Amino acid sequence: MFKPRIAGAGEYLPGLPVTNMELENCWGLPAEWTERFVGTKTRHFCMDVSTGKVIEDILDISIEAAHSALANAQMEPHEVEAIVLSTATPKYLMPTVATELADALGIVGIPILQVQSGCAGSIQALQIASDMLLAKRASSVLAVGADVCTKHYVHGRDFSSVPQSELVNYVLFGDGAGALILTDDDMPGCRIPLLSHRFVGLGRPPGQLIDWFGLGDRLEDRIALKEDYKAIEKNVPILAKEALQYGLDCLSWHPEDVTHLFPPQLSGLMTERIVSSFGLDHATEISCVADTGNCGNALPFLQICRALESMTGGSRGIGMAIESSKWIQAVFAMEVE
Amino acid sequence: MKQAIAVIGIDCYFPGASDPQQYWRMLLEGKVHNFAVRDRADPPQEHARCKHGEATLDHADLFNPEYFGISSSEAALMDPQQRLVLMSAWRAIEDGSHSPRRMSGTRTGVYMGLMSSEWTAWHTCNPEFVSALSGSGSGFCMVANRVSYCLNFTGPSVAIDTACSSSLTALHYAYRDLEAGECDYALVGGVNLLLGEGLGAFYRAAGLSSAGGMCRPFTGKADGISRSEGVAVVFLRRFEDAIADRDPIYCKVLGTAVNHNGRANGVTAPNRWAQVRVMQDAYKTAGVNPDDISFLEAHGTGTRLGDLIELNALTDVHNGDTRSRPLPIGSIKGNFGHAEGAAGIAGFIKAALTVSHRVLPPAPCAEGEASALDASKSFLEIPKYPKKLSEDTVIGSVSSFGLGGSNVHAVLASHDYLEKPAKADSRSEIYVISAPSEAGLRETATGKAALLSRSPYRTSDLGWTSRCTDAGWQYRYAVVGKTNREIAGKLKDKANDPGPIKGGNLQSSNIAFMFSGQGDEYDGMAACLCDEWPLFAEHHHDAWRALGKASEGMELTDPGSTWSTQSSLFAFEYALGSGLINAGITPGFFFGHSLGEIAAATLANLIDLDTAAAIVAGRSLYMNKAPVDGAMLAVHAPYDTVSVYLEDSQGVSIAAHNSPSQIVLSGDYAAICDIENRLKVAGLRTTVLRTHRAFHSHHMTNAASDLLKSLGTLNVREEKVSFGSFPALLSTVTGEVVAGKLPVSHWSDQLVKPVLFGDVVKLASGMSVTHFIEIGPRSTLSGLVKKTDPSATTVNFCGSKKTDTDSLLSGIARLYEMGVMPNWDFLASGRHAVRLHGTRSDFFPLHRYPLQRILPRLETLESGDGESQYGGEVCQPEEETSSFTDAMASVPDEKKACASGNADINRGENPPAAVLGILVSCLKASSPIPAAHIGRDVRLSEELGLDSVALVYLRELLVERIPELGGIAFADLLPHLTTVGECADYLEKFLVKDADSLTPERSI
Repeated sequence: MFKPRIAGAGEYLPGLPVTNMELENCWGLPAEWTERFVGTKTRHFCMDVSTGKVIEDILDISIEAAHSALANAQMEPHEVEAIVLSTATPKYLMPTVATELADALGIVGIPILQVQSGCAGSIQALQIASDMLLAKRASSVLAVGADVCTKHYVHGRDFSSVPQSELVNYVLFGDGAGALILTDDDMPGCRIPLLSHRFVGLGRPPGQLIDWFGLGDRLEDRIALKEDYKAIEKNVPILAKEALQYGLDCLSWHPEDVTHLFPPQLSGLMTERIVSSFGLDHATEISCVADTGNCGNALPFLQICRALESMTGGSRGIGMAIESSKWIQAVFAMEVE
Repeated sequence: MKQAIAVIGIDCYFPGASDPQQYWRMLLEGKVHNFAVRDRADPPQEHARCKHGEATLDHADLFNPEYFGISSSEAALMDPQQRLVLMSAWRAIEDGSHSPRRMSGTRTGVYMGLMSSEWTAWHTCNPEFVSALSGSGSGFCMVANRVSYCLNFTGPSVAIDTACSSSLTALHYAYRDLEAGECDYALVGGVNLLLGEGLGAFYRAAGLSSAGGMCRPFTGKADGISRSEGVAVVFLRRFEDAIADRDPIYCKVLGTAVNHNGRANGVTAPNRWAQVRVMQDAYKTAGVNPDDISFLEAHGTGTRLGDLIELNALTDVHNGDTRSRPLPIGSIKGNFGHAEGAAGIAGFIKAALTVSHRVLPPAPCAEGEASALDASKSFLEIPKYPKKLSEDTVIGSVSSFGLGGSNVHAVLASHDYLEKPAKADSRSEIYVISAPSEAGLRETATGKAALLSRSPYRTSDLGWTSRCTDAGWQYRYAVVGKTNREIAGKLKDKANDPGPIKGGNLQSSNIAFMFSGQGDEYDGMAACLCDEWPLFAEHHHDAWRALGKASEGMELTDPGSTWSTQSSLFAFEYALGSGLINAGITPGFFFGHSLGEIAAATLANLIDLDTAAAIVAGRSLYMNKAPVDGAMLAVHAPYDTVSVYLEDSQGVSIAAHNSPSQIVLSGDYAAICDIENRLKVAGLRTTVLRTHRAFHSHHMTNAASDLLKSLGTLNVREEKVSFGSFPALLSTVTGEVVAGKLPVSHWSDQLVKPVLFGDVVKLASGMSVTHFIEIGPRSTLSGLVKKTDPSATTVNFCGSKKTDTDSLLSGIARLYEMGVMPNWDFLASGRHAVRLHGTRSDFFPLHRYPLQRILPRLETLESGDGESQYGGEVCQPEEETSSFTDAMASVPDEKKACASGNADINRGENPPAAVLGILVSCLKASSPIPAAHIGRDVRLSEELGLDSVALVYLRELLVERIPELGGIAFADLLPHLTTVGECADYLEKFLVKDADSLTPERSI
């Protein structure tokens, strides 16, 4: 079985952590409500929340994460032979963030892809990277996951008139980027024995919607972000559990073999609930969403970055990303021999 | 094949690109510098030197004189080409992760290419305005020689002029000298500043000048040359030396060749056959075939004839190649024009970066290719877009052909590190920066902090590189941290702290090591240091071996035995003291508290290690036999207060005079209890020490005589090897400097005599010791020192609880800030830190030093016809606007008096003050050292750094400001140019002589 090696990992969270209290002061969203119903404590933004001024964009944070991963891998940009980037919030539709990232890194002449998806996009990107290595299209691939919410932020908006289904997004989400460099060599280190994703949304209405606006409809008064929290609360734990079982079966691992768990990172509270339903209390949980905010495609990369610090020989980690847009179930695993 | 040369550092400054990172970006984007095409009739604006068809540098007038020990006045009289090369050489060395100042004294060769010095022409055409300083500020040789002088390089130092190929020819000779061992490092570069019209007029007259004002090599629209400014320097070493020292390597130079056209079609005409031969020779020397070359950076001036001849030559060489794809060619002249003296090195750097990045930049040629290229289509191509170079080893080459027929070609190859360094570990690191002024340090620290906080590099690599490149200037910051963000945060805090920065100018004689006594030990005190510091572990091991040998057969393990305490402390102190000395931290004095004196004496080379071990073992053995009915009491009061109570006491004596307000008493248990009560009643603070034995009292008499007997059989070294070569020992037994042999009785006496710690601290302070370093596992002695000498600075290696990595590094960091320069190797030993390029083209460049604007002196430009290029600026020291000037404390009246010509000082009423004021003001203008205060006893040469040329200049200034001096000969003035005071007194004589003829408000 082909298992790409993680040659390097990096992450970047813009600015300083923004607390719930700061959001209450700036946007009027009660901190207590956030703590109780969402469970997120801090998050990062590419903008200054008090003024709305945008300081960095998705390209900037992707560059930082990529630099970090390259430095971690002790590799030069010219050693990267393909780039795959996943995001739901690109800067432009064209050119892609991935190509602008290549330009910034001084890279030319290699295949570059961008995957558009929610959080499952990260696993999709990693799977594409792995397949490229397997097919010998490249011997090292830079995979990046990033999301930012600045395009949907309206500074000075009166939040008292915003429906709760939209309101919760403002405390839930955050900005961030993560990157991995995968290689096909046989050096010792951490490897990925499983990357799998599938669409399970046949007949199901979307649980999450992000609209985008072009020149023609940008003045229309449509709701830009919508989450069906009831559906999410109901379906995600089930899909997550299913994904876990599926993953263990693929790998022929027993639950007790699992040393590290990477649960879906929706919000602090949701993650807690899901983990308790797994019954893998012996495993080290690698979660970050309560501190980093939900930064979509970046999250699995952030989890992997953090796990690398504690995984030693014999470690086995399994994780999943359940995308509630049109219901994509993704699972991945990590191991150190 | 010849031995390869490694390019380890690069710096460049060309129009549109002020560092290699910007240079590379400009190349990748195929940018063409926007020439400001202006009508010649426009009046010249301030600093606007850009003319039609000329690409100029925005900041050719910025310089940092302090870095090179040059005064602002001298800098203003230097050819700016010299200044630019100095700065570029400095940055190239730092880019190669070396320290320019610490390379002082090395056999470094300096090879600079130039094609003109229009400054020299301006400044030497009117002899009336030539001064000693303007003389040495001119000329070709000084562009190279000045670098060698300022940085103290003793290798070959040459300026080379072969017209357009000068700087690549310089590379050729540097290569040969490195290979032949004539030098160990080489700085190769070129510079070109357009300060006159001469060469431009020549090009026009010879039909070489582009009417459109742009070089367009190898295109259909090529119509000649446009001129460009620039400066660049590369730092080279023999490849094997660079590998051995783990230098960061951009690429290798495999070989070079030079030749001349011989008698061709005209002295300035290029010659196809000569070009073919120089390329073939270079390939042969480099051991490559033409089809191994992945790209070629051509000379490409954009003249029709020149381009055609070069294309033909290239076709000849690569005709019959078995290459499957055409050879890409380009020329940097298409990006900003012909940089003349710096043209060759510009092309070389482009090739070096291409090979290093493995991306071939495009040629900026939107105009369409030259028709000549059609003919050679199968062999040559002009890359229109950046291209990835995927070969395992990328080999490229560079051509440069001079106007006078001198040709040169060089071959480069990529270098890949075969072994990747080990993964990062999260250890603490020391990160250092220094600058020659307070303001400069703050600016640099702020700049670096901003970059560090986002740097993707490993902290260990950044820390190690900072220590390698550090110049060890007087004003320093050293911070300890585990992550880049932590280090950045600490640097920022330091920079924002408004308190004054003391600056380090510590001499050995200001430093003392003080060795701890019993009571400071604890379990595991040496563990961390042994792990962290290989040399410490080695010395620690040596000490234990000696102790083991000395204690063989002795019964030392009785309960209550002090053996484990004494031996472990001794081993710790011996290892720490030895380690620090090996690391280059050498004190002038040693002293120790009780037991500590043994390690002190060992390191002062008064006794050897085996003897010391025997003393420690003997002490432990015999002290163990002393009565267990003793006690000791620390009293927080002066001796005079306590001695009153001692008069009535029997069986109590002073064990230690720790400081003027701290005494330790020792003696019979009952007597101690009694005195304790009486002292308490008197309201004095006392602390009972935890021991059952009364050390340093009559209880130790038997132990002392036993020790004396046992040591008597030893060969105690009696003569010091040579006084002066080791730090002196200050004995806390005698309270004096140990000036001769130490008899064995010294050690037995020590057991009964009081520890004269406070007295020795006073003695040390009196001998100008200002910094006391605690060689022990705690900070006990540091506290005591402060009680005797509150102004003393103490350094210890103990954190809040114990010695660990952070406390070791923090102590070293503090010492560095105080002026000590450790051999930083000792910290990186055993680790896998990597040295980084200072200005990586793909990652963030490290901060560049703050510069100040140096304007030329107008009077020297008024000679000759034509407009002054500088629009009438006069160099006034007080008009320099950078923060460096603000930081230099100035005495406004004196400065005004000197520079503006108005006398605020009433010479008639107070000649001495007037003369001193004038003298100080003149000294500030001629000294390379910015002295905040110039007092009467300051020495002109030794402290203000005035060399002979500067003294001559000083005379000129003085004669100008003090007309009474008349035409005094330099030889008459020289004997009095010793100290400021002596000089002022001498000058005063001239005023007093003419006192009668003085009018009060006479202007200077």
